[in-house]
Amino acid sequence: MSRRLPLLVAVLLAAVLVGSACSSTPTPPQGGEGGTLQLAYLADMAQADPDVFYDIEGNTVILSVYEGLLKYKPDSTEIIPSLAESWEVSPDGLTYTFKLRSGVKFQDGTPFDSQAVKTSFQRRLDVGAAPSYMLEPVASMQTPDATTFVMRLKHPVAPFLHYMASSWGPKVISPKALTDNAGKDHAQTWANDHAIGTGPFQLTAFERGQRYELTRFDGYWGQKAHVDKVEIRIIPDIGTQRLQLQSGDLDAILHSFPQAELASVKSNPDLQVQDFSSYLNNIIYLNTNKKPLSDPALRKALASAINRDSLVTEVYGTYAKPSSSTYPSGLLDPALAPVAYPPSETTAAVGGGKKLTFAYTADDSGVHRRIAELVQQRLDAAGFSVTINEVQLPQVFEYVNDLQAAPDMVMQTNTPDGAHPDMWARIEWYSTGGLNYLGYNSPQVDKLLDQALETTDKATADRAYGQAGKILAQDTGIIFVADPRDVMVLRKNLTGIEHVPNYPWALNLAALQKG
Amino acid sequence: MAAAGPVLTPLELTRRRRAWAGWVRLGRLERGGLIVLALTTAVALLAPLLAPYAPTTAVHPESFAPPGTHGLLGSDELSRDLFSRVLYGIRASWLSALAVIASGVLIGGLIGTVAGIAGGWVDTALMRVTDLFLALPAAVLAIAVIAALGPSLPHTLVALAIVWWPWYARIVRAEVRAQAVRSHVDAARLAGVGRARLALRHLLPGAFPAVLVTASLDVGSLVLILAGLSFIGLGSPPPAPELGAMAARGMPYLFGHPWIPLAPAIAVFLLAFAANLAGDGLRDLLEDH
Repeated sequence: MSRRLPLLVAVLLAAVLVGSACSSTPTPPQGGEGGTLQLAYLADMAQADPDVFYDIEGNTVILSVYEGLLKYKPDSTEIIPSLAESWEVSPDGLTYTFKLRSGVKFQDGTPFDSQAVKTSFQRRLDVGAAPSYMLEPVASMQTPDATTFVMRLKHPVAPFLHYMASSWGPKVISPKALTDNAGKDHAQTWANDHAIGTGPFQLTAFERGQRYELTRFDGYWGQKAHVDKVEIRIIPDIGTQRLQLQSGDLDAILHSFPQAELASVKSNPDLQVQDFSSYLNNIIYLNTNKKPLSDPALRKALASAINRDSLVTEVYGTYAKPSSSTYPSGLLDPALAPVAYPPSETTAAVGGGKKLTFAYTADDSGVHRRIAELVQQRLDAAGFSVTINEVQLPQVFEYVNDLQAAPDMVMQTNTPDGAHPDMWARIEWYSTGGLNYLGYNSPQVDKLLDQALETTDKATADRAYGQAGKILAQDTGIIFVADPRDVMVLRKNLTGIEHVPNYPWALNLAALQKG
Repeated sequence: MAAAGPVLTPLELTRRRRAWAGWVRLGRLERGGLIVLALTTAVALLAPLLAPYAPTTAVHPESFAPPGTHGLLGSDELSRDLFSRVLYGIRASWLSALAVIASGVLIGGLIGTVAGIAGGWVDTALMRVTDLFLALPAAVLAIAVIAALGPSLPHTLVALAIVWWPWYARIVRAEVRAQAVRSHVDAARLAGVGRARLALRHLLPGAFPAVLVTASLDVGSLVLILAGLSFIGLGSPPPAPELGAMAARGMPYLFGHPWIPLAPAIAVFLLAFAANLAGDGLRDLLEDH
């Protein structure tokens, strides 16, 4: 009797396990309309507050729940209406008048009007987190009537409309929700894990580290979403995501699929690989503030020794091009600020045994690691002695505080906030730029960028941006490696795939359909 | 007629026969384990001679080449020869494991002997310190040490040596104390043998078999812990060929190019498996005596 007990327990346990496994896998509904879209994030998005959120993972949630005044046309840099139907810019570039859409309702039923826009924009300034820079140049906001919103700027800002269309640009939050949950921190505690906007989806669950759930908002003013629900689970391992995609538990992997594995996915009849143009840019920052790379000639020699073009083909295959300009392709005519790194004869004399440290941020696709190790291989062959280190992004932001202790080289893939050259140059290589990790500093570049910012004539401004890029290229302050494409792997039955180059790792969820 | 070989006394003859009989009586697995162990040690020592290519440079014209096309196991994601890397990886894992065990035996043995012989408050103090270290989970303490010192193979080894000695201290102390009450030790003491000689000649040899068996069983665990630490990025920085790191770096390619993560992973498995079998075999052999 007692010997049977363990068996009995095992059988019961197995039954419970099987039972729970069955109940946790709901059968996905079939058919063109409705259904639940299953997506995955590799990491937590941490923040649902559009005035604080400044990450890439999480774009899909923010862009589905909230809307700004403007947005980008799919596959284009063209700005199109969103909550604003039309807009006008005064000839001096100081007054922006937006004609707002009428009949729009927030997801909590509150009607949308110009006052709501003003409240939200003011909140972004009050919260004062990183993305608030887009509204810093605003001197005053007026609401002459319910559908007119006017902003006056302190000085002309060439990319201001792009600020309004950026995925990190100012969004409009329900004023009622902001008042009801105001607290003492401009409703930040609430907005952290709640969201009420005007977008095609409502945020119905925000379980940090677990899952997010979006439910179709039937009162949406525009084209209503096709699917009923979107479930986004946190699956921190790309291999697990891949298995779930193959078995149909996931509908798409939106980023970081290992490049080398794409070929084997293409032969799978259930899956499709889609790649889109993007402003993603893989770059290597050089520490110009410390020996040995404070020497421009050495930086140039190093850039050539990397033999970049063959490196890009080796790592990305056909899913990236070697950068042809200091700006991501599509932001500025590449002829205005070209870069090229003619490969050099690799002799040990180039490096002369100099020790270099190379830090790169971890990425799940294996791309960063491969580039880092290839760079190490090639620089070692050229006589350098390179130590590579995988680091986390917060560490990278610390480097600028102590440039002598910072690595000699830092590699990352970045993207501009909007499709305007200023939104790239100003963060990447302006002396106080937010992503200028290794403190590149050229007064001449700063001056050109400041001039361009206030120039209303586009051609003149572009020339100034080009000139700034050229100086940086001659200086080899940054090595521009690759313009990768935004690559996604989706189930074959997904249609309505709509991608905006400036919204990396994101698709328009409202347009997606499960066939 | 001159003797053709060394003349064996009957006693020696019996010893040899006994050893052989022990070998024969070992299970086939254990025997295999011992042989693999010997082979592995040979491979580890001779890796630079056996490897057809340098482990850290791109030697093949293409990356992701399947096994057999370029080199025995193909090329990895950076066109390096996977077979050569695995060989060097085995060398690093194996020699590291042996080094940690050697230092563990040395430190632990010293502390155990002192505690065992001295007795009294010295014993109590030393054993409480040992308990303190025993209470710490080895892998977690190693991670803490590496986090403080920075990731590199020497740091990993230091970290593991710090957590590995307490086992040996306990074993040696127990054995020394067990030996101390036996008559041959009393006899030696009566004959006026000094403390140091007593410890070295009469007490420690008795502890030897137990330590040897534990050590050989530990090799397997150490290979696994080393691989685990290097898998999570706490081993040598790249491009050093380490089995754990190679498996970790190969993970993204598991489905399309499975040989890249699997070759080092299988090597780890075989090393640990062989070490365990050999440990069992060694115990059976020594028990015969």
